[in-house]
Amino acid sequence: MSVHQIRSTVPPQDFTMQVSTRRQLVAAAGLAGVSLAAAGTLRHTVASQQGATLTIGFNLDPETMNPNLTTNIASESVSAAALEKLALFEAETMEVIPWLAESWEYADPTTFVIKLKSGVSFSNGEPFDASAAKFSIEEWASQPVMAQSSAVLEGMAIDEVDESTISIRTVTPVPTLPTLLGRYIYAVPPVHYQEVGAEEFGRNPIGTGPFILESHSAAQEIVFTRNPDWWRGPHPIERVVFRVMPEELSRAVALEAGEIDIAYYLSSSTAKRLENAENAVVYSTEGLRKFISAFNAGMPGGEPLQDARVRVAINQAVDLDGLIEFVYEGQAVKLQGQYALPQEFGFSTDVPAYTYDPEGARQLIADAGYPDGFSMTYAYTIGRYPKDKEVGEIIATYLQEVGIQVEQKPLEWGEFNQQRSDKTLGHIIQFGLLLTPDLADTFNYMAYGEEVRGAPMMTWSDEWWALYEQSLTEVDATSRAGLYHQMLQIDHDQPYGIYLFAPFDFYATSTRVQGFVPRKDQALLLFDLSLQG
Amino acid sequence: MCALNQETSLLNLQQFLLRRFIQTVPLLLVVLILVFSLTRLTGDPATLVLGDNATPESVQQLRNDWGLNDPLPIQFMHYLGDLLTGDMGQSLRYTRPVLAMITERLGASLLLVFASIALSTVISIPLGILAAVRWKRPSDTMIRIGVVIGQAVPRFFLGILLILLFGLRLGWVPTSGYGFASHIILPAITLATPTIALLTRLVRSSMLEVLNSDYIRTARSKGLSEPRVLYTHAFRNSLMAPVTMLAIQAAQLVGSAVVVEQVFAWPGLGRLALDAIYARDFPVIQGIVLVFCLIVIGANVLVDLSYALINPQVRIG
Repeated sequence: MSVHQIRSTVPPQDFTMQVSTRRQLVAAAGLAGVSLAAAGTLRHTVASQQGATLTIGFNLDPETMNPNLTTNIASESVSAAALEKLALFEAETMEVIPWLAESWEYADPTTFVIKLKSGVSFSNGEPFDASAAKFSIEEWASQPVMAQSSAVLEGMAIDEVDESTISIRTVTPVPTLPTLLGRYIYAVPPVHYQEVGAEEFGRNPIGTGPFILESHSAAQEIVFTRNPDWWRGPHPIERVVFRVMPEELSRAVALEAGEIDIAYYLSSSTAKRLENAENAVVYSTEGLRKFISAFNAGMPGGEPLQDARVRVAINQAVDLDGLIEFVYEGQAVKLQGQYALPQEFGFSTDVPAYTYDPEGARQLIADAGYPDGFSMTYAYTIGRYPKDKEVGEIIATYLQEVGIQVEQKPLEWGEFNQQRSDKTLGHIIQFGLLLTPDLADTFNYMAYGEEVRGAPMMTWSDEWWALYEQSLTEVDATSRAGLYHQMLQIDHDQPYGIYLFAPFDFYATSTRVQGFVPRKDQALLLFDLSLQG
Repeated sequence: MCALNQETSLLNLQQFLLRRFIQTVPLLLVVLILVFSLTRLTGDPATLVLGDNATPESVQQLRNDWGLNDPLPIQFMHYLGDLLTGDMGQSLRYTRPVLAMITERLGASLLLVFASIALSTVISIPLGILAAVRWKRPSDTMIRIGVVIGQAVPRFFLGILLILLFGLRLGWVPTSGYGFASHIILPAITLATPTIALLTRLVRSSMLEVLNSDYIRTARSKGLSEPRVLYTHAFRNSLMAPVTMLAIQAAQLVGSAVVVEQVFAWPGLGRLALDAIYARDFPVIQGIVLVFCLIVIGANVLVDLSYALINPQVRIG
């Protein structure tokens, strides 16, 4: 039996018990002897070896576990061990399904009634009822970090109809209310929350979820234990440990070595490495994070971009299939000439994709009055998203091939953000967007971005704005999809940016993890997980 | 007479430490001013904390709350005033006291750095001596090749290699993490390797120089045994340069630990510094730079003191 096979049969948490042979002891003793005094000070923070413990190799240490204070999905995934939302997106279809809410309906276009599950309580004993749901929604909407998403609810009033029913009255119809419930609204216990404040709640969150926070060792691990009173019955896993491992290769190797059960969020190349590991199962899914390179026609020097022919030409100049194959080894979904993904509400099958046509692009640029090309700056992030730098460099090369002299601006995320605020980023701005699976959110982001951040942007036609305004209050899903189709067609003919792609997301688990489903929204939900053996 | 000498030495030591302390104050002040000003040129933490969704009004409000809209000298005076009372401020990102955040990470960082220094010392000194004694022989050549490789290999790459070999393939040690003594083995080796290479080279060249000096020839001609010549006469006199280099390396190790902490998920100050820089968490950056500075100054004072131990001709004071 090979070493690999032996190791693959060792349960993950038994790792430290493997150091038993003389060779291993000698190796371990080498430095342990050197740092004997120091070793004594090492805290024994690794979770208990007893019982069913799920260890997750996680990419970050959340800045807060209060989901009202962050829009970071990874941070939310940690708090989601203890806190639950009123609704969820179904893992594969991304349809909104009730969770702590039992059902909902529009009583009229501006009145949204939510029936809550009864018999649910927070782990501190507070009941989850209409009062708690009302507080949770109001608290979420009051946070500056949620300003864009909660803007549609400005002026709302929430009534407690009875103990398990609330009614949200909005100033105008809000068709995306179920989506907001599924993306943002976590139930928080009003009494405790107000007592400790939002920030302290972020350090010691209390929710209705399957687990209760046990400890948080900064930059090391966050440990949760089973909530015996979870409304679905005690979870089969007794303890969950999020081990903070920023380096994705470290997560992959730790999984292969049997030290962790789940390697969260991997790149395609790292996932590929794990495909041959006997004790690992690799999952991939078409993620919702889409990449766009927006045109900033309003910036000095951006005049060529005010001509729609130039914007179409730039889209034709980029070989997306080649780019996806080269950078992501084919593991990405191409945006079809629009910024909606097939898995999003609002995607239009009638909007055609651009074809790669550098000759045609050169001709269009010449027709627009730039036979000798022109100069542009192309800004992109470094290290913010997987392979963002490579993508930026390659796109710049494509643009140069059709006569556009590109000055590249690779920027670290903080600097990128700063320049975006200062409106000095560049003429073409490459970024990733991870929003809800409803195109409304993307349109809001773009429109709100132009209004609030002043960038990126270009001027949409009056027709586009009229359709957008109409879509904001259109409650009927079919009619709203029809409006989106018209808007996407406009955005195709007069492109907003280079519509790029959405890379697949990768995860890996040990073979003993059961019930893992990779989610398109990158969230990690533990509800249906169990451990074999 | 002996008591008088001891008293004089103690007085000299006190004067030395006092003088170093007085020299440290302006140095720290300059460092603080530089860090304080430079961090504020790198961007706005409020836009990073609030993200894309926030309105310009809420960003301004947050800047006001943090005092970032005050003139820079006023901000600095506030910071300095708080610092003198032991308050390093509050993290903008984590809303926690900076001192507490640094304290909980400092132990892990110091542990890693001390382990690396210890490892460097116990490996490089015998190797350096061996290479010098076996000058131009196969063992010297092998050590020199090892030194070149050790200095050339990037720590990130070495760390990954060690993880794959000793953590994954052989399963001798954990691949990453923090908690048991076995967790420190790979990160310490990774961090120490370039230092081991450098010190080995330095010990070798120092020893070669000393071994060719007249007093060693005299010692040998007096019929002293080779081990006695080596360890009593040569070794001690060849230590000045390596010890100086060790102090410089100690400072560098604190900085280099960032990469190692990232690869091995080691919860030290380096990672905290990296996160703070990305988040423009000014108070945390300032606090960490201050601590790093103190560590470097402390290491230099220790080296100055060690000169007197190594060579009695060196007087403290």
